[in-house]
Amino acid sequence: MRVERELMRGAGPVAVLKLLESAEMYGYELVSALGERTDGVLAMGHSTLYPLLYNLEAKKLISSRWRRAETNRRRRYYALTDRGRKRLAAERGQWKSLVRALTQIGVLPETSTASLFVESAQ
Amino acid sequence: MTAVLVRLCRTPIRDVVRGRITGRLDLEAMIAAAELPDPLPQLVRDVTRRTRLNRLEKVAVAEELAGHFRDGLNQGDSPDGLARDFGDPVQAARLIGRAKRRNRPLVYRATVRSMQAACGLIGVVLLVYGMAAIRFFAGTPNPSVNYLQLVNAETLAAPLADRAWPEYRVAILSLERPPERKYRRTPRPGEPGWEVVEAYLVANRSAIERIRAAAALPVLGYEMGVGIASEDIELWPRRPGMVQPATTGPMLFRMTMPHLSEMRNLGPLMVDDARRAAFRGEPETALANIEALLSMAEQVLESGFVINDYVALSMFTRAVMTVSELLRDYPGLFSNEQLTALAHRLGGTAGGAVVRLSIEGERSTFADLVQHAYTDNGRGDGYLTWDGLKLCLFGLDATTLPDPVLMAAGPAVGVLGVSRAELVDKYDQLLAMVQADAMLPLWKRGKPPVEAEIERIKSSLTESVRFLPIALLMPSMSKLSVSAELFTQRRDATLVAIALQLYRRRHGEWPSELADLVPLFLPRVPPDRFDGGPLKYILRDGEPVLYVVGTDRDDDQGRTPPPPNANKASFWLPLEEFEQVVHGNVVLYRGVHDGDWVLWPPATPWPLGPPDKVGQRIYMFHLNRP
Repeated sequence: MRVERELMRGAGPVAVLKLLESAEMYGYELVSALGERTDGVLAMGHSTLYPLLYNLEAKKLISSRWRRAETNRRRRYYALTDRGRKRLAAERGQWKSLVRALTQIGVLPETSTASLFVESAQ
Repeated sequence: MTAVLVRLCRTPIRDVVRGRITGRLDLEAMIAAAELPDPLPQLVRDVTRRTRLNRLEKVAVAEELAGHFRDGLNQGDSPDGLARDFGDPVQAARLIGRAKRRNRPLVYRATVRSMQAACGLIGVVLLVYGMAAIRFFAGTPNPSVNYLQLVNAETLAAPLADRAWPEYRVAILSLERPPERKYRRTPRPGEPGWEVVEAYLVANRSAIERIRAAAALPVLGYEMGVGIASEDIELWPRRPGMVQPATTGPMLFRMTMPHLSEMRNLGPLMVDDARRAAFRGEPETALANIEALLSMAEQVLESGFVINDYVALSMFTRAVMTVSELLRDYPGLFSNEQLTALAHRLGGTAGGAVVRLSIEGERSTFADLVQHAYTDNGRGDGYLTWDGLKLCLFGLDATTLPDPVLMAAGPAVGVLGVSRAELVDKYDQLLAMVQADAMLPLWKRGKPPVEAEIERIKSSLTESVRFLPIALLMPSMSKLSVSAELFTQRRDATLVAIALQLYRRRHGEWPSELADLVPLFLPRVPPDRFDGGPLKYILRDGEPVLYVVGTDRDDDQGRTPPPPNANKASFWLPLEEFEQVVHGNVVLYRGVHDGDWVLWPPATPWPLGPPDKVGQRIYMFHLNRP
């Protein structure tokens, strides 16, 4: 199942920031990871990814650099900046609040909320 | 070589500066190097082209997209699958372009915005200027008043028998050529060379009588226009004929008045004949010549232009000085009745005690110019036109080629310049200032406010453009009223001299003070126009001296400045300038000499001497003809 476009507009950047939290990645790698690691829920069109990356870069949440790939081709890698790290933390808090609120009014089941709290405690 | 040039064209400037011809702006080369299968190269090409980014940004986007597709192919995706997964290329290009532009440095964005704003502003200015130019060049004056006709109306209304100019014309044409100049000034009776002057006067007796008869006619009757009337061509054969029809262009602006110099030049002839009559003991003839001179001056005043006033003033002054001279040289020449009549005649000079400015002619001249330079909206308003600007700058030289710079700047003058109504208002204000100043007696005057205002306009570029016709064409009229005051001073002193003569004849001695002359011989003691007090009077060696304090405003007991500046105390200085002068011991400050302006007895004539440049100019009279 893929999420609605409006919802994706809010979740997409957070997902990209999250993916870049652990290591720098290039475009195709990011779009593949989004599809695979979310069971296709957050899969986005390839044409959507690059504007999203450029916007995050304009906001200085991520940075980019050209590197030689193993095939000796130039490839552009993206990495999270300090500012991006702070934004990710803030976004995560907001998403938790959102999930909690959705749980409290019964949109989401209790179990999902509990798992979030567990993750948060860890 | 060509390949190098092409590569150079596809190299960023920063690389060229570093001495490297990288050719990395070559989008096609970059796509080809990615070795992508169809339809991916075209997809990359489409997206990058639609982003509307700069070449460097496009290449960066294309390289990244090509790399993306190459990664996908390496992962086993099919070209068509990758193209499909990519999504809408138009939408992608729009979003990529927008995001990339956000990535541009702040300085770059600020520069671009500034340039866009500047271009916008220039565009608006050009648009407004273009509209102003259309209005300026398309504007057409619509003159509706024939001012020349109005000026000539009184002349043309007078019966031919009342017009003096035809008689003057005949008299001038009949005058013989003046005798050869041998002296610095005209010899007077009893001096060497007088016999030549007298012979000339006798030989031209009928012309002189005709001039006196013409002076007695009610009007001058000279029809003014652009050029010379056919009747006058014999008089001035070198001048162009009258422009017909006399209805085009600002006629008053173009009007010529050669008759004024002819009238002025007849003055010395009448003076010489008056001297001859006095020398021969013929008071009636002497008086007739003085009367003719005064009447000629009054005829000259008819037209109401400032130049007429100047010429008339010089003729009035000549008449008054002649009276003084004859009174001194021939004290018994005139009877009491003749002296009394002469005093009354002089007292009524120019219709009153003081000669006033004639400004209506100037107002008409300006109005005529304005109606040929500005449009007319039917309510007395309008704006400056191209023809009007040329008229103001080049006068009447219609053949002047349009200057491209002037043509470009013209609309700006049209926009910045005041409207026709505002211009006329300003001109009227300036004329009112001239009139108000002229009403003040000389001792109450400072620097004429109108001169300061005109100076202010001329010294400011903005104001000069706003009031262009005034800045370029406003004549100085303040000096005329000063000249009129100085003439009045001289005339008043002559009236007092006549009164002194009459007093002495009755009492056998000179009065002890001027108040003794009032009221029997003089209605009142006239003022000293330099300090506002009464005209100064002393007896020196038993003879009366009449004087005013003169330029330095300091009473020097009737002593003139030391030679050679004896006659230079009549120069008038505005009060504020005078106050900078040290009282009492002035040697020379901008023409100020320590001494009084002695009005009676009149100054003795220059000694006879060989003619010099000045002498040639003033010797007798001269004609404008070969």
